[in-house]
Amino acid sequence: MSTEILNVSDLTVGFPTDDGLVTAVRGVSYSLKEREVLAIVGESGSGKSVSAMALMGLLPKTARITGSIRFRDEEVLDMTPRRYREIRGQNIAMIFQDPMTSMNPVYTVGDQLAEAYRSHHRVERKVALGKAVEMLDRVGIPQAKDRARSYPHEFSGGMRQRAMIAMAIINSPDIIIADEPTTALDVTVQAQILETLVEVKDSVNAAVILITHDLGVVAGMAHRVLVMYAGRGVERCDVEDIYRRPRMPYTAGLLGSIPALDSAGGKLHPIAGAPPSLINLPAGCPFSPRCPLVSDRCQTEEPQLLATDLAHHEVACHNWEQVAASPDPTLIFRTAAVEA
Amino acid sequence: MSLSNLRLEPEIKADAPEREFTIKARTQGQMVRARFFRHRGAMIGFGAIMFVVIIAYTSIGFGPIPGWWGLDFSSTGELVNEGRPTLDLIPFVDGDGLAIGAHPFGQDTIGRDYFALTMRGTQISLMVAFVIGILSTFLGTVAGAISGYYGGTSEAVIMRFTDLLLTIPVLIVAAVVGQGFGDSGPFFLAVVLSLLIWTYLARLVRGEFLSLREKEFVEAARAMGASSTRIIFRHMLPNCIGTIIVSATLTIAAAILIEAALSYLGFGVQSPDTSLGLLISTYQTAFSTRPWLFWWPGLFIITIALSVNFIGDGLRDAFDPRQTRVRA
Amino acid sequence: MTQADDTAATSSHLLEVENLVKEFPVKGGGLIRRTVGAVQAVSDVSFHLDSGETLGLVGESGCGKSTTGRAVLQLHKPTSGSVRYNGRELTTLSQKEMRPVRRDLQIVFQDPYASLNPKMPVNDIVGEPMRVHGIRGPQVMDRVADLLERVGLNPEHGNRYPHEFSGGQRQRVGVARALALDPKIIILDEPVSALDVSVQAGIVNLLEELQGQLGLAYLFIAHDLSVIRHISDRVAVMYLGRIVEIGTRTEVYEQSSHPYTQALLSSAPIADPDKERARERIVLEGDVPSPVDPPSGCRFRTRCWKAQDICATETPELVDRGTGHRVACHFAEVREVV
Repeated sequence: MSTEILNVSDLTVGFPTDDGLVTAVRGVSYSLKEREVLAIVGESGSGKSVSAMALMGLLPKTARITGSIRFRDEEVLDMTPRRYREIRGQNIAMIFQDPMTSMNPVYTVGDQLAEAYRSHHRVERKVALGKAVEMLDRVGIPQAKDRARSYPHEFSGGMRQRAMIAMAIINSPDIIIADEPTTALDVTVQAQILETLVEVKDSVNAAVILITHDLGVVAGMAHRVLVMYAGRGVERCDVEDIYRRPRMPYTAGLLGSIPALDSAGGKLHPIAGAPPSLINLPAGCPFSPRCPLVSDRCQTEEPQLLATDLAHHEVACHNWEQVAASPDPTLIFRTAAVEA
Repeated sequence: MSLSNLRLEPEIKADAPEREFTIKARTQGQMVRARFFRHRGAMIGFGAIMFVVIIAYTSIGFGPIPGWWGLDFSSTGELVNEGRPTLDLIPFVDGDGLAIGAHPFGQDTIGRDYFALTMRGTQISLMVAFVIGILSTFLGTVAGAISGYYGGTSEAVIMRFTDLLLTIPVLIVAAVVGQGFGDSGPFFLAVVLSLLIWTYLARLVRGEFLSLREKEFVEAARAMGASSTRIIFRHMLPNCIGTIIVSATLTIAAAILIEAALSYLGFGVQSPDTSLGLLISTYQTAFSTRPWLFWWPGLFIITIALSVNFIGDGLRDAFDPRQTRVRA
Repeated sequence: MTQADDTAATSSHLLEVENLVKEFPVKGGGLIRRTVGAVQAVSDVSFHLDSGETLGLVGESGCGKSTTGRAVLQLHKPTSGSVRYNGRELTTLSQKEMRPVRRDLQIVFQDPYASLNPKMPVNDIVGEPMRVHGIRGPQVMDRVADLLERVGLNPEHGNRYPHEFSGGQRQRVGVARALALDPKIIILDEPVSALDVSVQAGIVNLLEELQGQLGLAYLFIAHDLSVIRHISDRVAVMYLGRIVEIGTRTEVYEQSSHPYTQALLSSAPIADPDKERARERIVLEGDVPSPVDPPSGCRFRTRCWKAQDICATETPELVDRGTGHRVACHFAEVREVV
């Protein structure tokens, strides 16, 4: 039974803007065990990236954060900036979406990795560089020793992302947060990177929080999944449940709207409408304007993330039993005019 | 299954129209205006320049239209109190309220009312600056648009030409030109100066056009067969308007100072007409004996230059805000 | 059956592209910038398109698919090769002569945020093609309203500006604009890549329905293999400026024969944990070579596990090698990857 290393409880993040307070994250809760891969799935406006940035303490000063983030036994939100700096990079590392802008163009890749190492270990530059080369080799960059002396722009997109992974693991973190690590990459490169990520996380015994909108990537890597919509978690369960036994209409809708790679299937069943504006959220459940199962209660009372009939599976929906009862949940999104 | 019976599910349901729009329905013009009015510096500058313009043009009149200030700027007279300003700068202290007196800015060495003189100088300086601002903006926009849109030889020619002009110090050329044509009046001077200053804006506009040219909506216009004229005027220029306005404003601010410098050096506006720069130049030696002859026009130059600069800052911020985008 | 036979026998295709080449000069520095090299974006591409069908053009970034689409429309003037619409050669037409042809060949772009002029209200955007071609008067507004409704938008919102719409809605506006002049062919350049997953399906459905109603031909360019499989009748796979495999949807997905196609299909993730984890993945080594200096012979050989000497000396032709569809590989072999 592996131990829990991260527990996020009722995390809320708000930003003051011209148009009022935008609450990008509205009460998100999840936990992460050692060596577990948790996928946070959502579209734009879901708040998935903001919640990850909150973990790392990378949000702007104007952000208002409430709730609790417990890393091992420490409350992260109560940490002093100094302590935060200690755990950031050392215990919790982050891989960003765009490797081009995440690295400083005027320093060599080796130098940047070495700097990451020296921020947390008192060693000589030479030793740190040696460690950097070792990491570059670990992530599968050929001729690592020579490559360490290259600049970021001399790397291809895939190799840059590998270098980012190397930078993330150089301090053997407990948690790696990967924020859409492959979205900007070609699909063949994506496969390489994900493979590297899986190998590497095992070698340093890290847990991974994988933030993505791609359900295919989730299927390949995740153990547990948290689906986010309009700033809060709407379904939280093991990975098989998401695909075989979803309980949230939104999840079912997502599954039904993706074309399959391995079959020339029939019609796609999109979810009508678009993700809501965070400033102008509907009353009650934010998914209600688009939900085919909407009832009166949905429009007045926002559902909480509660247990369902399955173990380790929580959902935020008043009508989840209807979803559970349907043999093929994607059916609920079929419009009346189309027959099969 | 009959396709004609197929009803397309509309994305916007009639009963919940507003929800589908992600932000409030404000045009870009409204947003820019709102941001501009919030900029304190710009508002102060705007107020100050309005005050200067109004007082300069209404006080002594302009052309055939008379002003409300009794005296004019060319009639000489007797020196009252050695020409000292009669404006009570410390009102209410000695119990006499805000007194303006007959010559609030004093008189010059031959008895001319200095307030009228300063106002006349302000009128000319403002006129020169605005003409330069508008004319050089126009020239720069045209040159920048043509070279940015068409590229190739026209771009090469125009850009090498602007490079040439840019390497020549404006002040020196202007001095030479001013020397030769200064007698033709301040308007002519303004036109000539414009011909030298347009290059800065040309580069900016060209840059904008280069980036806009690759934008997909421009490609879309080409794909539907739109003519180049249509693309330039309907698609690209409206999207550069921010840059152009800001640049025009800052050019005006710079022009004030250029004109002042030129006139100070003697190459700008010549007498009998006057400008703020010329006033300072004429009376620079009076600095210790009759300081008011120096300070009043100086104060006006500073005020105008600062105000226009603040307005330019405010406009630039209004058109290009650094919004904190919420990544979700 | 060689390619020449193919095109000679069936010269009645709506669109015929033959030996299309597009190169972009690379200029060196200096006062007069001389051309020091060329980006070979599209190198000898040939395909055809018939009325009412969708040809999917799939490949990764840098393969030249977007450039191909634009070259067909003469938005980029092809370096060489032929593009024939209804038998008429387009590459030799002047801008003026091309204009009326543009009514029939339209394009929908990838980025819903950049493809609409932010300063124009949606009504004007959709009506502009008509105005450009000399149609004026109230019939323009009527048609605009009709088009907006057809793509699933409320015509009453026509006087609003693009930034007030969501990404999916803006893409619908782009589609409405493309339909304005009643085109026969629409080039769709990654039309759903920039949209949220739940919105993509709506646009894809819309495109399919319009195709059924109006008999449109689509050249659907994308990198997402699942979307291509869903919407295409025939598929062409591109790599570094060349088509490496072309055939019907079934042939390319279920009987893929080119190593690159196989690698591509095996890398694309499947939304099913059991299948995804049990898959045999072909992971390619190395990176895509530079299009300025592509490998000799077969361009894929630097990353191919089957590469032999012949691959460097002899460029494989895009011909049928016993599988029923055309493959450009000396060692083509059917392999089920999906």
